[in-house]
Amino acid sequence: MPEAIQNTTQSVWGLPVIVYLFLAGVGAGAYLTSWWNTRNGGMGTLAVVGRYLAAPLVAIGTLLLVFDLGAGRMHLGRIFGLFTHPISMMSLGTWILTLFLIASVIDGYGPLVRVHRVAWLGTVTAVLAVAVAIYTGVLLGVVKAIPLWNTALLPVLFVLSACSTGMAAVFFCSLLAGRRNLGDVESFGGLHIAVVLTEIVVLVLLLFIAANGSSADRYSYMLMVDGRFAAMFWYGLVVVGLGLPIVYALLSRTRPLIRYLQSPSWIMLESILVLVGGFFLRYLVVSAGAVARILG
Amino acid sequence: MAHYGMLVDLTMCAQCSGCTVACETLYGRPPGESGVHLRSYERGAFPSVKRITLPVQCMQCQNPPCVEVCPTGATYQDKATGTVQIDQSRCVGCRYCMTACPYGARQFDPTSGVVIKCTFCIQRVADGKDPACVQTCIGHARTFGDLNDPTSDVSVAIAERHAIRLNPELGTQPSVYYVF
Repeated sequence: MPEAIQNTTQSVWGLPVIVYLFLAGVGAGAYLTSWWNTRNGGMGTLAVVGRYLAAPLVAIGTLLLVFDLGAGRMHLGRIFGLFTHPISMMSLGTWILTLFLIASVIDGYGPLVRVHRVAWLGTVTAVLAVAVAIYTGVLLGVVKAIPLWNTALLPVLFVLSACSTGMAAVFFCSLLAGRRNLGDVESFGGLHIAVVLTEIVVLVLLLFIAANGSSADRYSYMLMVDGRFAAMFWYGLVVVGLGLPIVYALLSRTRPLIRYLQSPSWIMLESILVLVGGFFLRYLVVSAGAVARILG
Repeated sequence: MAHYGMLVDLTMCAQCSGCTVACETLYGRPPGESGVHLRSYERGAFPSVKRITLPVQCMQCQNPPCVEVCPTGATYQDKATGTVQIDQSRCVGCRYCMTACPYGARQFDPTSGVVIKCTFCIQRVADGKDPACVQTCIGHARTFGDLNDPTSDVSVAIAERHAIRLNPELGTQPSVYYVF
């Protein structure tokens, strides 16, 4: 019997890829947060925490990708083939991930085995971190068959989300390490919320384009706004991931509440919200990606 | 240099799924892993809606998005036949090609962990036979041949019957044509 098809979402990539996109973003963002904090020389707690976080997060994400492979997991030797076709975004990404993992391990964990940290390696790793964040977006962005993904805004959105979730992860772990790091975290607060605000602008643009695009584009848009993924979109992403952090940023800068809200617990809570939002963003983009219709 | 192509004339298609079964039988694949799938689409809006059943398979694109995205180079374009083939010994099963294919023409085989698709029965063609789906089609809806040869049955039929290709806007340049 023929299968009835109107618009359908892609069903090829699922949770492992979503979690990878999220973790790679957080890892890259954590490194950038760390690097930003050391530009002027000294290594504060945030810089140390960010460097410790970056490599394991990206490594876990990359491992998930390997486990998600078919034959590549059964015959591990085949994985080296992933380096051989750098015209493919995924092959290029394999190079970027490999180089980032090597650089971030040396740069982040070298001092533990008395390898001195060198400034230029930090800069190189930061560039690679940007590449990792961009790559997660371009991997999807080059797929013409899925109009929701096929826009230059997607890499921009993923890079911004990588920065906001990376900062959130570093804030959370720094404050977990000790309340005395509050000052360091607060000095970053403005930048953090600025990134979240920019993210909202780009997300709105992306949705606006989807809402006015092809049939598949509109289908993806409707799935998020008023369909299968509406609860996750509105509650998970818009309210929890973007709205509440903005509300918190406003309230915590309001005079009577400053002393109460600028506390480690509140900042840690806000960080969790941003991380949850970042995860749902990846989930929605991957899952709501509708395939271009064969007949208009 | 040949450039093999196919014409599927839907006005002669009985929607019997013979092509799907012939493919499964020839390659010993379980149901659902055939290289040809029948899909049903609605065209138009109420009150002038038409339901179309479309046999979909690998379009053997001349500008194939799957080849571009394949990270190992396992999917390649065979210059001698103008077809898209998969070297299964190099496929890692990342399924990037499946997201990139606008026609949903590729399947993942969980047993071998590689991606499979219609090969245009390139072995049979080399032996001078038609692909299995063409040979089995009871309505003679399918015509196969060399698109580079303007006198071949398929080239003549495409020109005469004003055949079209799917999703021209994506620039994939399929080698499979349809008559609606």
